Amino acid sequence: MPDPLERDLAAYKNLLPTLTVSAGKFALFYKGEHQGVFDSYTDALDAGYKLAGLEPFLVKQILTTEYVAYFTRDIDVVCPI
Amino acid sequence: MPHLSGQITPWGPLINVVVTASAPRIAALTKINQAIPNPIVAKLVVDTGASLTSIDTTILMQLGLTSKGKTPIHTPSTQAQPHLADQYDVGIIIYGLNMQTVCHSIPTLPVVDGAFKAKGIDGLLGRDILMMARMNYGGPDGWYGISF
Repeated sequence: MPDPLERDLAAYKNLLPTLTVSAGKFALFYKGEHQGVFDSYTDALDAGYKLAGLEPFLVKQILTTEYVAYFTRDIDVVCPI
Repeated sequence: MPHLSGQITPWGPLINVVVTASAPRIAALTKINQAIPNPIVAKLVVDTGASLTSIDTTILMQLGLTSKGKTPIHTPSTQAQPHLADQYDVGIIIYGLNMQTVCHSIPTLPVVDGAFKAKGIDGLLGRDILMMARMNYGGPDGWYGISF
């Protein structure tokens, strides 16, 4: 069984071309299904917890170009793309 | 304007914050009558070189959190290829000097995980929080000040 977050991320990538009209907003995915678009991270998270409880779900900001965060020091994350 | 000051240490400007579960997670836990994890005091370095706030994985695990996303990051080790960091939803409370007055509260904030304990700190307070603040770096005095 695929990792729930990986499954939701794959669903996001598949749907991204249709989601770009909502760029900047936040998409909610649960069990590989798109559950809606929300104006803020908090709103999407709130809806996710109401829908999924403590089960895994994904909140992802819709971006046409993926934002990359920069750290000038190592934070020891070991999960290569 | 709420204000706090702290010492500039060999790590840099250090700040003690309280890390909690996010407000939506607390509401979800309350709804199903589950215990809300105790808030945890974390020693963070104020880091203008960090795009995002990052918290040690052990603290996120103590709060019982699960990842709600992944975000690409560049660090000195990642070279040309960004790495995917897990993203967690937390709440952050920043107290004033006397630890009685809340200087600033962020009920819901996405943070990325990291491994900081071996470095003697619990994480980095990044520009996602600093963008809400004004900061003075008093190098000659060994103190910094932040206003929210």
